[in-house]
Amino acid sequence: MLIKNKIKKSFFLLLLSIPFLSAASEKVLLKINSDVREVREQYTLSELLHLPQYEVRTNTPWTNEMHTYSGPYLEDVFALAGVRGNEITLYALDHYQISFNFESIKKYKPILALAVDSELLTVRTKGPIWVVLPLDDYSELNAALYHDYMIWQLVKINVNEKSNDDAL
Amino acid sequence: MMMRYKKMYFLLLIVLLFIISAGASLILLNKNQELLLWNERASGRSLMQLVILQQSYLNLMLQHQRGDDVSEQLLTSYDLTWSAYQSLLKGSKNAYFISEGQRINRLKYFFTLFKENDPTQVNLTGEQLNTALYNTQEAHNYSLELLNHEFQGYSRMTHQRNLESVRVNEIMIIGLIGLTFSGTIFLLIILRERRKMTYLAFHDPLTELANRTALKEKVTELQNNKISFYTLLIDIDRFKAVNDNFGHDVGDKLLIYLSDEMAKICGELEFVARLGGDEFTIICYSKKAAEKIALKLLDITKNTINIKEKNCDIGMSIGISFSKSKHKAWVDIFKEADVAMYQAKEKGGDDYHIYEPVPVSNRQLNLQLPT
Repeated sequence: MLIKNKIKKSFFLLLLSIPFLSAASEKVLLKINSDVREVREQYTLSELLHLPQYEVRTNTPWTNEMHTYSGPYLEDVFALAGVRGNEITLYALDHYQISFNFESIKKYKPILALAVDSELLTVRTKGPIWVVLPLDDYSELNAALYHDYMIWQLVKINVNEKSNDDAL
Repeated sequence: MMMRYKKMYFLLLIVLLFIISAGASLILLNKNQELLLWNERASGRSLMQLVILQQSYLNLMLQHQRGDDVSEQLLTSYDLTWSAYQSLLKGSKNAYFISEGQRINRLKYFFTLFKENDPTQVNLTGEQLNTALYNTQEAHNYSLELLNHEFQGYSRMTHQRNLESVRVNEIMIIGLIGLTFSGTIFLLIILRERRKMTYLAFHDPLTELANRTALKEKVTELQNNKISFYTLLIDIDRFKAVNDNFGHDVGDKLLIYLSDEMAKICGELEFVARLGGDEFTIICYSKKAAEKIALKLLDITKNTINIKEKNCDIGMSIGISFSKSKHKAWVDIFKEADVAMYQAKEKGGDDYHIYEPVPVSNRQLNLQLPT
């Protein structure tokens, strides 16, 4: 497989983020809600940085050059929150929102990019969280449909999973 | 020879047509796929975002000018607008409006003005705020203009793509017709060759009568269906002399003539075969028919036959044997016909003889008969 996602020793990233951590460690970056499981999780930057960090090196329709994006797998964040990401709705700071079934892109291992080329993302650079898919590794991802999933300035995820009771 | 060359050229032409059609179809299929994969440019949405975000930034600035406390929203809105600018400028490769350099340069110019009024760097009040408002309004108008341009470009591209797709499909259909045509020709050639091979396997190439293999099949078929039958074994008397005196050419012509005559005598039911050399076999289904056929056969050689102005004086010795439904192996059937045929020959030829089973007591004597 051509997946360029690799576990990255995130020393450098952690070092970079220390000044931010001290000043803004309390600031919530991402909320994950699931009504069925009564999950109301909130994550700060340091919490997200403590998860294993992976790299995706790819071009995007919004960048003329290839960049290296790094952050935890969306899958890992769901596991941390204790939700099964089925139907999810993602919300951005600029009120953009997108709903889709996470299963449809799970195999591509999307990451919640927190940094680009080892520099933490800011709102000005589509941060603090940008959902990044390895577009260059899978040609089928090069479609408007999947581009829409790559939401930037992500602030909240609603998980609309079915409970086991419903399934019965 | 000429025919063979013509056939070769024809085959080569069909192979060429097949390769061209297949190649063209594959290339066009690929092209079609490329056309289908063509996306709406992401920059269209980025532009839309810029228009919306810049509008809301403008509104916040106006509120700020009125004295409302919107500083936090203003900063966020500024950052979001910044990001929208970046999406367009950093991803300019994917935008339509980049094709005209002036447009991207004007956008860059507005972004520079935008950056000059960064609320985190400068105090947005008084004259500075008025300038920022004016610039942002100008930039907003320009981004609206770009948005129109972008969507016109998108429509134009979509139209072109659709036209191209139709053209590609048209050519592809021609390619597929070519493929089908050459494929059909191939199939016909193969079928014809097969039919020829099958015909050659069961027919004598000289007289076009059924051959030994076909006869064997016929006998097996009759035996399997439990049908009794009569076998006429025909040997041409003095045929060797024709070959020796007049040459094989005349001999062959004579065999063809005799075959044609035999075929004429026999009806749909009877089966005529050439065993090889000057030996023929006819299968029929009653004693009466067998004798009738034998008499008619003898009629053929009653007078000399003229082949290529040579008078061929030949006769026929015919042996007839009867085969009950559950008979021995097919060689035995012919052995009996053979015995009868030699009996006819011994009597001087030009006659037929029906095989009669020898009583057990006479069998010793019978064995001494020539076979």
